[in-house]
Amino acid sequence: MNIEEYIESGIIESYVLGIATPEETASVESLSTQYPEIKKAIKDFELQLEKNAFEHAVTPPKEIHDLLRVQLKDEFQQSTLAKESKSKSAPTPTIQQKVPGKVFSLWKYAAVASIILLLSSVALNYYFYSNYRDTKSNYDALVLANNTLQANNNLYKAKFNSLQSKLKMLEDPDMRVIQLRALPGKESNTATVFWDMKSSDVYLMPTLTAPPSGKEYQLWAIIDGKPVDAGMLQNCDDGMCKMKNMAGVQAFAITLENKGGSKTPDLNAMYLIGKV
Amino acid sequence: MSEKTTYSEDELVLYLKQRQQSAFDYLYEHYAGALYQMVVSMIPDKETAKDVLQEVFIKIWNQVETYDPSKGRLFTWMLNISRNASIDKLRNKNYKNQQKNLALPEDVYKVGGNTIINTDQIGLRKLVHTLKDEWKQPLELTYFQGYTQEEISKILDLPVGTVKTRLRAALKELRKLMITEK
Repeated sequence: MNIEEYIESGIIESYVLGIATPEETASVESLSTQYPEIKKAIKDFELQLEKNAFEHAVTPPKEIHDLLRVQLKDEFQQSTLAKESKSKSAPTPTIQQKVPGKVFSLWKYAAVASIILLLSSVALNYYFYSNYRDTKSNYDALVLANNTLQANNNLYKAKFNSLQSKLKMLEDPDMRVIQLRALPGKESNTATVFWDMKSSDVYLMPTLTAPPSGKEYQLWAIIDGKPVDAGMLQNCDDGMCKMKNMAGVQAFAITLENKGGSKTPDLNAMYLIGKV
Repeated sequence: MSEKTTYSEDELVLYLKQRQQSAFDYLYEHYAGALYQMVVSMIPDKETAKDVLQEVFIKIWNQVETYDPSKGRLFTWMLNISRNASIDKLRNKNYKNQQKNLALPEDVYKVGGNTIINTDQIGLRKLVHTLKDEWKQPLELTYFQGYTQEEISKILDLPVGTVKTRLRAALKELRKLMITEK
């Protein structure tokens, strides 16, 4: 079907003017939902007709409006709210009547208005309360996250301080660094001893396989050919263990001993040894 | 009237349905003139025309619930109410003269009543009356007098198909005139 021809056929005008046959009306109404061009043509002609009517407007005698107001006065909604919100619509003297029924009606609308206000207030309260709850729980979560961050921060700060002091220690010219070498079969283990010649402090940085249960690693200092207990590997912090102070050491060795340590080393269980 | 508010058609219809007097006052202030010209273009007697306009507004007020915006503008709907109310009045009043009216419609309107309006000099009807006879007749009979195409075919003694064709041609010409009219 050719829409342009259809629009130009005069059927649109016929429809808008209200003189189309029922079949034509049905056709226009159904096609206008499918073709926006038809809808537009209808609207265009409606506006044309409206413009024409307004251009030729004939002002009717004023009394008709007054007559109509009197005739419809019982039908008008006596809503003060609606009037105030929309305009200062001029009530005619004929309509304004102090009938008791109207007073009742005013109370009725006031009551309806109060109920509406109350309901709106309840709704707003609920809305604000739930907003408050959301905000509060967000706030709590943020406080918690902040505390966690602060705690972590303190932890890292402490770690950093301890590492920094250890680093300083390594830079000390009096510090001797002794690499311990693994014995055959224990190659996966390494350890380094830091020995301060001045203060006699001994530190150990081990990388050892985890000891079996009931066993512990023990550091020995070889002084004048004899092994001296230099402490168990248990007082460790950030991979660095503080051992017993030693002086005049020729070598360091690590053995695996029963928990709690031994007085003399089990030489069969020696893992590492390094000369100074 | 110091009514300065303007409503969109949707708002107006809504407030009319809510039975607001301010909406009715606006409806009257805004549309009475445009609707009254339709009534007076059809009813020569001024007193009768006033009655009809009053009826038209009562009809609009009572039937606003049936107005369907998807089928057209509010004004289109109200204009058709005005036209139909006028046709009803004419048929009612001049029932006995009806057959005579058909042949020479515009002459009949000049009979009776104190204030006689020259109906064919107003608005759309004035334009229709500038059309050539074969276009003017069917349009006048259907739009201003409410006859069906079948009835017009009998009155003018023409086949229905011809009536339809002439009506369509008349409408196309009328639209052109509306656009060019000053």
